[in-house]
Amino acid sequence: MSLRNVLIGVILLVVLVTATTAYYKLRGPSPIPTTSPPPQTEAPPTMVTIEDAAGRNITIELPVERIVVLNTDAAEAILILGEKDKIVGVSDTVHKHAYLGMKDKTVIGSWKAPDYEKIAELRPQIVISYAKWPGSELEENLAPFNITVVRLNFYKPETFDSDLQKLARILGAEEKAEEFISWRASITDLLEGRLKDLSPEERVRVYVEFGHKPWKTFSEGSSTHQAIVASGAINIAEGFNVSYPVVSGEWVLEQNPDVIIIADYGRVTGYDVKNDTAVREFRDEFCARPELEETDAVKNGRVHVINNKLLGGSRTYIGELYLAKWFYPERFEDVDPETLLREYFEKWLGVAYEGIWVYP
Amino acid sequence: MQAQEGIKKRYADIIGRRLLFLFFLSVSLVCSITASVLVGSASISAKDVICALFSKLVPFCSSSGITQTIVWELRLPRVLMAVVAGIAFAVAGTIMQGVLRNPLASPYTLGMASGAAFGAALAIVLGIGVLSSKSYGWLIVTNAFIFSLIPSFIVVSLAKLKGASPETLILSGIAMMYLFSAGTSLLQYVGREEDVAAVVYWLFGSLSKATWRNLRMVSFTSLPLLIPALKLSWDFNALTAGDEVAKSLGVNVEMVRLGGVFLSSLLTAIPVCFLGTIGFIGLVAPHMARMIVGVDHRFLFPASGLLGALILLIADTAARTILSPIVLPVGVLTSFLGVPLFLYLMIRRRREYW
Repeated sequence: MSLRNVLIGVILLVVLVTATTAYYKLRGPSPIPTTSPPPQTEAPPTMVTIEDAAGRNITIELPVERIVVLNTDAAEAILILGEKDKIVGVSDTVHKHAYLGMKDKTVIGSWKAPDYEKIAELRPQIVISYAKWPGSELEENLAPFNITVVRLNFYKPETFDSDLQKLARILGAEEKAEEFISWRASITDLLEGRLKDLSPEERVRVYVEFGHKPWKTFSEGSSTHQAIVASGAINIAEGFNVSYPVVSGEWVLEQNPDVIIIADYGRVTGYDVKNDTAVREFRDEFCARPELEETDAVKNGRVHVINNKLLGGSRTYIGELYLAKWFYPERFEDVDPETLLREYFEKWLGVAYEGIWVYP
Repeated sequence: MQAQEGIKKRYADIIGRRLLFLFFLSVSLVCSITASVLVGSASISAKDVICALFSKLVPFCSSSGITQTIVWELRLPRVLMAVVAGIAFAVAGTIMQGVLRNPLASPYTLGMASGAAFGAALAIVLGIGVLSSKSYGWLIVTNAFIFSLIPSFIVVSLAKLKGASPETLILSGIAMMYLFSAGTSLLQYVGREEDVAAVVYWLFGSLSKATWRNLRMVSFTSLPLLIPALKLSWDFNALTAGDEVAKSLGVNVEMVRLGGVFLSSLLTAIPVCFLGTIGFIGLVAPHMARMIVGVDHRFLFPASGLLGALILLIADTAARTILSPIVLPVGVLTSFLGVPLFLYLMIRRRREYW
């Protein structure tokens, strides 16, 4: 009785142990996750080593001809470098966004949970993903196929330049990268130049809200807060311990901000938004909140909705110009941020400029 | 004399039928394993898969390197992990239901899922770990493991103070669940959006993390725990008749109960810390097994384990093929499959099972 069951257990265990040991005997030495040179003529393969966003040193063999991209920020970076043809597989989010023009690429699952079999089938040399997500399962599952995972963020403004340069080294597009970086720098220089002599009394006080999450604001540690500071304003929610605190309406009324900015996460703004009806309704609803009706911002109509990509996201350098223009119109009369946004899409991404990105 | 022979024969019949069912389950499991390895989102024909599997033993055909790697490195470990985790969850659930004498008990009743989620969230959002480790992945695993055992530890300590009755255990478990869930919510509140998304994703549970190395660790630590569980079969049988009856039969009720909680916690913590919180297997598999083989734990444990393995395997295979190339989180599928089954069992529930 008890013995019989113990026997069953032992048998199960033995079977499993045998199976695993047998597997190890058959498999031979485990595959090492480095690149192996393909059969070539006399010239040794060119290798490039970079330190990716996760702090690891990665060696990649050139030339890289097949790439799988897991997120839209990396896809845009590849478009900027003009290497769209090298992409063989994309995540479903990248595939979905029409403006990226990747509808003809194979879908390999979601950016958080990619389908490793599909990726392996495409035989890419590298897979580009965020630094933290998906986790180490990405390397573990792809290592046996000698596919290198390159982790680059592209959505953090402070590391965008270096991320772009690293990718450019891998793809052999360093010139394009430098061109883009100078173009970006010229925009940031313009912003800083005009705001240089701003005195503390002139500074505008701003309340920023997370679109569709009432009273959720941004504080130190968030890139949105940094964007507000870079545009020369004071965030009334600065100095909190939490990056995304939820405040109360009375507190905002007490602070009486001069301008209110709402960061919309693609619900009423974005490339696919055809007209401004949705965003107008959204803004009107927002201004009708009883706590806000008496603030200077609402009374003077200085409430603006802006797409999150322009506010702390990948296009924050253009967004900051929009913000600065709203905060200090006299200083930026001759500057039209929309022209620059248009240039980003038409010249750098190679697509038509469309959609509603700010309101009003 | 005749009556005695009659009874013996009936008993042998019943045992025979149960053994037959166990055999049938084992065969189904083997078939499911084969079927699961044959399907996947890569377009590999069945012939190629079989070739990749066996050509190492007998080189009767050749398959491409990619096919071999996909079959051996992606599919096989994943399928075997589903089997091992399924057995672990189901047996843990059976122990829990026996120890707590409650058909609604599951491995997570004592707050383990909330504890594991809290540990994972701590690692993901704040990067704090019990064993500070350079590798981010390991941080989550060790945190989840240790924090999933803390609720059980507290519950057991409380039980030593107030006596180990099922009511005490369940109430303490509920308290633990609320405490750690609140902790996880707080972490999500202070975290960045992408970290919160990652925590949520971890909570779903996924078999994508099944590699040979993880499989070895999970199976070598959890499968040996099945042996003490099997050895305690008769004690669990006695427990179902009530504490007093069990004591009079010579069973050390408190030891068995707390030992059972300890075993069940480990059996659950090990797969959960690697795979995330996969639910419902520990709840539903013991019930289904009980409906077929009865309450004799000598057969209930194996039947439940095999059923658990089958359910998880089928759910995961469906998860990675239904909407290919989108891979659904397996925890979602087990809940979707489990809930109707569970409701059906609840409605049908008859006293005689208990």
